[in-house]
Amino acid sequence: MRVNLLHALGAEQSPAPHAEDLVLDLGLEPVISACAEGDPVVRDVMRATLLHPLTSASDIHFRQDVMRDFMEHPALLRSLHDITTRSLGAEREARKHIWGLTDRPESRLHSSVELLSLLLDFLRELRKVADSNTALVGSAGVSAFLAATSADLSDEYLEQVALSLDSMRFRTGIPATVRLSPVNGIIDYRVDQPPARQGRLREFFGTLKRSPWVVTIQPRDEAGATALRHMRDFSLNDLADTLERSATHVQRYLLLLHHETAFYVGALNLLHAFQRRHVPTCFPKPTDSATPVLAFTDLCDAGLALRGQDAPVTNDLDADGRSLILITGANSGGKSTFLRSVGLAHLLTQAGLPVPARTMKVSPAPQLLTHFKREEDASLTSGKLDEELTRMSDLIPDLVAGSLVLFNESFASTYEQEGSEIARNVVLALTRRGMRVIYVTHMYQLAEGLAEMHDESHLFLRTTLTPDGRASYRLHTGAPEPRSNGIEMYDRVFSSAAVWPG
Amino acid sequence: MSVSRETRTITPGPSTPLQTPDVSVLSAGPVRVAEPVSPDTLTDLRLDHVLSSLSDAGKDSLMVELFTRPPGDADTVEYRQEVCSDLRDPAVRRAVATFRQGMGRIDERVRSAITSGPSEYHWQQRRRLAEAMADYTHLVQDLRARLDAVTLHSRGMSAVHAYLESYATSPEFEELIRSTGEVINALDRVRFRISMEMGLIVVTPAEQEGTYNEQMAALFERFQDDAVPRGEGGKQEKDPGITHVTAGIVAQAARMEPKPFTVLAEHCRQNANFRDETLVRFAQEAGFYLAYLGEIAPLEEAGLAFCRPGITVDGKRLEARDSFDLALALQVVAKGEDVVTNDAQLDGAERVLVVTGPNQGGKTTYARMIGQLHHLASIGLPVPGRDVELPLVDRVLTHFERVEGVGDPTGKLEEELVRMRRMLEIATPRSLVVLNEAFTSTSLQDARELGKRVLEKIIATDMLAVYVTFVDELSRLGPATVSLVSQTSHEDLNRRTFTVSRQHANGTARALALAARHGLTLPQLLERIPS
Repeated sequence: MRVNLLHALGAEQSPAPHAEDLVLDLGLEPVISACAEGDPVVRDVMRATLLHPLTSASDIHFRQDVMRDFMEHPALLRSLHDITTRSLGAEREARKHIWGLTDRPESRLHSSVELLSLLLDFLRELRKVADSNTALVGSAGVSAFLAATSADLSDEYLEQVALSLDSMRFRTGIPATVRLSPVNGIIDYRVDQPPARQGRLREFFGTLKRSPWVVTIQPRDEAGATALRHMRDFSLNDLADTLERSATHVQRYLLLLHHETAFYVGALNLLHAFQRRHVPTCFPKPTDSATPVLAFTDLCDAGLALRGQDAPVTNDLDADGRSLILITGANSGGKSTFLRSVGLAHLLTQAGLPVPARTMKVSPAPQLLTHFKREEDASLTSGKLDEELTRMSDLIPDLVAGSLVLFNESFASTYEQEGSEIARNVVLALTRRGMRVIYVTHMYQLAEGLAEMHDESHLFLRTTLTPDGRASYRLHTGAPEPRSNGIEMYDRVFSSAAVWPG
Repeated sequence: MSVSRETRTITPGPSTPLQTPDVSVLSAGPVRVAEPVSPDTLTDLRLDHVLSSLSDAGKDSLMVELFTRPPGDADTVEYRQEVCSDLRDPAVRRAVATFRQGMGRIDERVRSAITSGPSEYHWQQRRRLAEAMADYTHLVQDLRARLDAVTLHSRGMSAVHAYLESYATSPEFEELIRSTGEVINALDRVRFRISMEMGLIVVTPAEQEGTYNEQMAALFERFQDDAVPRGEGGKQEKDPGITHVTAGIVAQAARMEPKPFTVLAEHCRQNANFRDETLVRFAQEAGFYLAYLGEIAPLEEAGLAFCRPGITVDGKRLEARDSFDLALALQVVAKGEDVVTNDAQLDGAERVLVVTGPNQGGKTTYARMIGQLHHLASIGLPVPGRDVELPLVDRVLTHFERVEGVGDPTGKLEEELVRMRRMLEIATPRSLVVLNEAFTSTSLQDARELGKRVLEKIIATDMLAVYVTFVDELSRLGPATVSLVSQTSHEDLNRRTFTVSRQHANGTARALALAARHGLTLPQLLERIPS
């Protein structure tokens, strides 16, 4: 029995490399918090799922379809999640009472039998939910799950489990077939089927015949009692192992269902959080493509949107076929926000989640990597540039063709001439090897040099100013301009009598 | 089935005739033993350490006897050397070692079967005995097969081999194999069912074996998740072993199905003394050689040489190459360090090796080496070194400084002189004396004079000696003395150096050089990222 609500059978994601950098650089935390709404399990599941990105259009469609089912039938999602939540709670409670009294096999077996009996009730509930919802759902993921639940947890099976669990309580003693050891002790204990109670199990196992050959442990023979207990334990050891494993598997099944439903609980929470802020959302259209596909309308930075009350500034872009997007322009002009919005949109898309945009199409990247300027961690021992270069070099082994690499003011911690040269080499090498690069920089020399190549696959974006000289936070296509607006900003800050925020 | 023989008895004392059996790996016949080497001498030569590990801290009295009491005649020494040479063949050694180990195991089993516990365990005791018999028959057949496959050169091992041939083909032995196998097979086929209830166990005949465990395992198989490893057998519970409860259960099973058990009881009664005495004794005697060869094996692996020394009865010639202090080498090799080896030679009129030189230069070690060489050779064992040739000495005597006489210098000197005198009285022209730093408690003039006199006595008696001293004049006493000087090892010159030179930092190229160091130039990047 498999859950498979997050991906079709057999699909495996590898973890995103340098995940911590992604979280930090893209500002993933507000997104995860919006999903979690304080639930630690949802938080963990969302974080883990976002950082194990899907890389094919069909996998993304699979999740989007499941989510559409749950958007339409939130009660189904709630009851599935609720059953697993209660089963985990009951299990925790049971462990306090029946678990770990001793490490003896007989007691381990007993604990497992009791635990499985407890979990059996929740399996029965699942079965009921599955039966009553199968007809309502449309996605491959949910349909398959409900169908499998109905089939695998049939009445017959559940009854057989109940009887078998009861037989393992060994109310009339433990029967075992044995042989003589090379010292005429007893070895090779093979536990036999205990005699049926009330004739409900099959007849041929029969009842234990009374026998004239009996060994009785005298009431005060403590050594004898210990020996008998030891024999019982020894013969039940394999069975205890088996049942412990079985309990683990059933628990894990319920836990898996809990986690996978938690993802969709988080996804619905995220959707509602956007809706509350009147941020338009859509399911992006994923495309498997050899050339880069990236186009959107009214995309905003999800993190910024979820932190604030209102919908933030949005941007449009059509960058199909562009392997390099170079963004230049005024400081505080929205370059970094734009870069983050694109990075986050990729992560959301590749988790199967909706994005804060009116429309979006995108080709999933096999890897998403970031190289952002770090404000704080400079000059420990090796100097800032050295730190940046080390981080860059660490990314190289994780690159596969088609990876998306986001640069934010990288290599600007040295003279512009040198920084530009290093950056240019990196950009050219990456694009030549099939990577997709989005690079935010104020290094004019870098931008100018790349623009002079007149390469069709390069796209240049620029921040714009509003007519009154302030940043508009919207980007426009355009060749780089030789100067950033740092001087203006300086002048503005120093000339204005108004209170400057921050 | 075994040939009855007198048991050997060893009583300490001079020249005790030993009763030796016809088939022995120790000697061809009765032996007159020489004087045992004294405990002080064992200590001085550090042979006590070697003996202690060979004899399991002195618990093996036969080993102590053989190690401390040389046989005294060259023929017996050679007899033992022959056996040792056969045992240096790995195949022979493995064969004998396996046999000895097995006989020890059987001895333990028989003892535990006979001596242990109350009679409620009688079925267990009898089964142990039967298993020991099976073990014994396999062991004898195995030794015979292994010895058949090798070529033996020694008189001792050949005699054992011949004895084994006749014993293993005797009708008595063949019957023991057959009947023991039958008894055990019948017991192995016994199966019954027990029901473990509260305070009692019910024994019933076995029914068809169920597959209950498998059924229960299959019950939850549909939840099996490939992501979770299946687990390797889970926790291990210790076998309950034998208790009065299991013994009671087996006793009930024996009542329920008596045949295999009565056959077992009868078999044990008939074969109480199933071991052949000659073979038991062979296993014990062989232990002497095996223990020693086992002890020196790591040294040989470390590249140190051992050889069978050439023994001369009448001569005084001494020759040894690449020899060493065995006791020290055992310690040093265990620590993984290198052992320093030395040569020794006495030829013509030469009788005394006078060793001088700085402290910590290995003088005492050298003296011990000479003493050990002679003692080990006299008991018939391989000795440290190559091409060793030496006379068969009647005894090795030692004179080492005793630590306890610290207080009064006069008393100490007197004690030393008394000991010296006693030693020289016992010594014969066929003895070896090892003297280490004598007369250190008196003046240099005294020491020179005393040493001179002692040496003159030694030379006059025509015995062999090693004399370790700080008085170097003693090495120039005449044609009988040979001077040896110890040297400290030279400094190790085999050392590498790294060239260290400074390079000035170049400001303009700094960033690009830094990029190159991180493998981030364009060519480097294209090389690093596969296309």
